[in-house]
Amino acid sequence: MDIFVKEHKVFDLINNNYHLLPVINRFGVNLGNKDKTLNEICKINDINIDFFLAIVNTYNNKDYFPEKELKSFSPLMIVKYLKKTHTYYTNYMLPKLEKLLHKLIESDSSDSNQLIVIEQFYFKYKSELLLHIKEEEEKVFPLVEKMVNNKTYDAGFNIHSYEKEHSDVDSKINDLKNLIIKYIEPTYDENICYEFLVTLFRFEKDINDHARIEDNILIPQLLEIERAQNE
Amino acid sequence: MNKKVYILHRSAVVQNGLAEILHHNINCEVKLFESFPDFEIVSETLGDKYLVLVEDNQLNSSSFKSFIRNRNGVSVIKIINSFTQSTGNDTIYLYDNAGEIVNKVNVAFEQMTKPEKGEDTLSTREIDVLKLVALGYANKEIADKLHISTHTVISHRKNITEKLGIKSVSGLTVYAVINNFIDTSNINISDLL
Ligand SMILES: [Fe+2]
Ligand SMILES: [Fe+2]
Repeated sequence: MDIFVKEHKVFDLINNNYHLLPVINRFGVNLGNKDKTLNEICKINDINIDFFLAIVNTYNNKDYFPEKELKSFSPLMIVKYLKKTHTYYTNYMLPKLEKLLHKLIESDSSDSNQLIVIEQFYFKYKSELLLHIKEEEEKVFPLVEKMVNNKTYDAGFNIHSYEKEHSDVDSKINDLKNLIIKYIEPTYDENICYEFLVTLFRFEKDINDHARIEDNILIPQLLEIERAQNE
Repeated sequence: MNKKVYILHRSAVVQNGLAEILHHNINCEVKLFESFPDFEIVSETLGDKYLVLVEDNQLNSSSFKSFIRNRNGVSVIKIINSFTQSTGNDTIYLYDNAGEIVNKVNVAFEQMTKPEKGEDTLSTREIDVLKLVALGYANKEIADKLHISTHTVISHRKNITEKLGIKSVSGLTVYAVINNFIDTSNINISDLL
């Protein structure tokens, strides 16, 4: 199944890609919906079905680009969704990673400082990510609101520099994975390490998809508004 | 590895000039050929890992192209006779100065000796570069400290990242610390990151 459509059911979605669990949760969609279709679920929860499909498909399929749907929903909807995702990272994912990393360090039977250095690297990554999120929430998203409401457009933010920042942030996650999988002496509790890595992989996937939504949906919409306003 | 460079150029002046520059700066074996047919006849005796500097009109001949196609150990730098501003690493211009030419040949040899992707042992030189990267030095500073060109530093960094799979400077620093490449007894590691 490459593309989800409104006739699919929640089970199809999750069974096909369980990474979508937190995604539908951000829309307020719970489990336990029996055999209702996505269309029905969206109606009940007052969700724009095109938007819902654009998001889950972008998550599910790297090559998916919701060109047609793009114009059918407001950037404000996306912003609301992206903010929820940020909250999921800051309130759930990062604390979870930290707890596991802490447990991992405690389980280390050697007296080397390798994992301590890894933890410092993680905190470096985290501070960059938080800064990035803060910038989006304080600069980018308000700008979106302004643009949508057609108020004055101030060019204090360069839309085009946005994508580069994403690649900086995700190269660090990749480095973290590399360091742990390839180079750290395995003097720790393996099960904790695996759990940490699995969580990290899930987080990486989620955040890459999140960035793709920003790059592939939000940015093109902003550029479109900018173009229209310049005409 | 015994470095081998073969020069294919119609001009004896160019052949010998390049050979002279290489002999003075790089420890390598140089052989001169006027044309591709001369080269091809003896090619079986020339080994399978070498660098060819070849005049661009010969490079574009179909016989040269098909010769080079299945020879993985052979690297090519083309020689351009016209007066053009020097740009890429895979091209030597007749008006390049000796330093530029040596640099291009060195970079080509570095690429040739580069291990397959995934092999993670760094060369001594790469470790030198890595240490300085970890300590926060910029490319220019590293170049000065190690008496190499900035270009070579960049090429080392590219190889390091490729070998280790680590892209960010802080990630490289962590690698250097956990492998004890840098002495961290007097520094706060998180300041380096
Ligand atoms: Fe974001
Ligand atoms: Fe972002």
